[in-house]
Amino acid sequence: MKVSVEKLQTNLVTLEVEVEEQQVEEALEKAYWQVVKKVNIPGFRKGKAPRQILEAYIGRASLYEEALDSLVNQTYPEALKDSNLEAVGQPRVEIVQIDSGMPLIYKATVSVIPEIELPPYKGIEMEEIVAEEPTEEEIQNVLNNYQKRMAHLESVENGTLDNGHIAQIDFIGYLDGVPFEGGASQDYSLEIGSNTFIPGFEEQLVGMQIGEEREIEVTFPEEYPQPDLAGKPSTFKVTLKEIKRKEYPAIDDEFAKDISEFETLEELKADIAKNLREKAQNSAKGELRERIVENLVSPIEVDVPEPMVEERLKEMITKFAQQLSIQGTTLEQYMQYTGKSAEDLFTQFRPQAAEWAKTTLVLEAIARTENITVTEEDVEERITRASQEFGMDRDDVSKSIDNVLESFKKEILLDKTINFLIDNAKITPAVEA
Amino acid sequence: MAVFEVITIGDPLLREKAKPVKKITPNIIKLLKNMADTMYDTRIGVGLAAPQIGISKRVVVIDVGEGIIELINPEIITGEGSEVDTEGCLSVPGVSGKVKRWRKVKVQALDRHSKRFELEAEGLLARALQHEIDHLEGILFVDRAEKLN
Repeated sequence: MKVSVEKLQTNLVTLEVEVEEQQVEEALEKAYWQVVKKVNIPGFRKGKAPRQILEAYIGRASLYEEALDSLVNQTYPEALKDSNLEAVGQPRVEIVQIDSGMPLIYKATVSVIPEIELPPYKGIEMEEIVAEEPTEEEIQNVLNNYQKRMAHLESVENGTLDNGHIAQIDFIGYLDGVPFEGGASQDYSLEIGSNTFIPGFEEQLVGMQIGEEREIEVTFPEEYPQPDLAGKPSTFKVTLKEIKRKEYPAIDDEFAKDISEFETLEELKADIAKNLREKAQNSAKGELRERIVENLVSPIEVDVPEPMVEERLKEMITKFAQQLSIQGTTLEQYMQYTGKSAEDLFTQFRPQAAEWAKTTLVLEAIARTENITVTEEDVEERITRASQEFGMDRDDVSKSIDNVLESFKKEILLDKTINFLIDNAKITPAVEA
Repeated sequence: MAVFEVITIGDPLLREKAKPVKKITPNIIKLLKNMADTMYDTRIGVGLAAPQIGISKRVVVIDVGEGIIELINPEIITGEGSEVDTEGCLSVPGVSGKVKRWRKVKVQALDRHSKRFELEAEGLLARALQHEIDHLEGILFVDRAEKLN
């Protein structure tokens, strides 16, 4: 096999591959045995027609076609390896010469990972990013959020219904004096002022006494989702059965004991501060990583192979669709709602995908130069972490990740390379602003 | 009696992994009582997990009509068979859906006296146990539902 490489662009090459006659002949012979079993030729039992007869009967071209696939499949990966090229995506194959007694010549044009001229990447200078110390206000906010979630409801005896109260009501809705479907309920808990019901409904209940029955007039809004009700005036007969008031616990030691394992509010606050501090430190670390990578990568010119960008784009859109589904909508609904076409989405994500591909190529080039590799232990550790993240059994993760194992490995490699960059960077203390 | 407001989907606390109870303090006993009060007050709930009333602790109460069961740090040890049935959740008002669950489960937990016990269940109780223990992992039934209405 002879291979010559023509560089069309830094990220696109054509390999011209010449396969010796003998190998071609072997493949043709193999193809003959494959095909002869499947073809009925008059005068011969199946599988018994000699090769010349078969060639004459089905046409030479069919036999060559059969042989060609296996020849290319055999020789193309070898040709890549011999030329030290790393292909991205599938090649476009073009036959230059195929004839019996002659070598096979074909051209395979394929995207390749371009050679990257790396700038010095050790000793990147970077100013330290200092995590902000959590403020009293931030800590108080966390406490307030806990408190807000712990509303309990107290019965208001002998009271009158007011804004902010929760009214337990029975109601029947009438349209032109006739109860309408879905317009009635019993023991419904309605927070007055929450705007859960149509405008006017909650307001007109204010001032009711427990046990009181009241008739209120409301008009369904024009944009009400049920067309048979939209814009219609209606009457509701409402009975107030109970009034409840939201009470929030005081933020004190007892509160700390309720929501945590701590005995005092001071300890709880210290723990909240610790968590906030860790969070700030992590995000500072993340920001430093991002800046180092950005500083290193942005001046480098890389002709990113197109298939790499496209693959990333597909991944990003799949991920985006997953996020949407968590929020309870689909990609189709999203596109309909925003008036965006699939094309628009690709355009929107494209710069990010290209940036990602470029960063990946640069980091991978550094990993190659520095012999940074992914070990079994790295993968094991990543699986353990994933199992904790998803609250799954380690074994279940192992089972379900067969297809994501490669992406785990890639992720680990990039991560280790960034750590290498940070370990070798010159981080200078931040100057007080 | 203290009836709490049940927090609903959208609150990030429902998505957090709840913390194990290290020691059963008087506050945990109070929590069990508050949870029971809240569950019974809804009239429709057959179970409640502590995160649903804003407390990120691994505590669950269940009553499928056979009396209250209190579970602290519950864990499913084994499950067998499977069954699809309709579920709803106080934290996802107005929505129900078909969810596939183990038909029978064995659960291990602590009771209020710190005593470890095992519970074998099937039918509605098995379903309620799985639903509530999911809450402690930050999982809601809508994540598992095959079909929602």
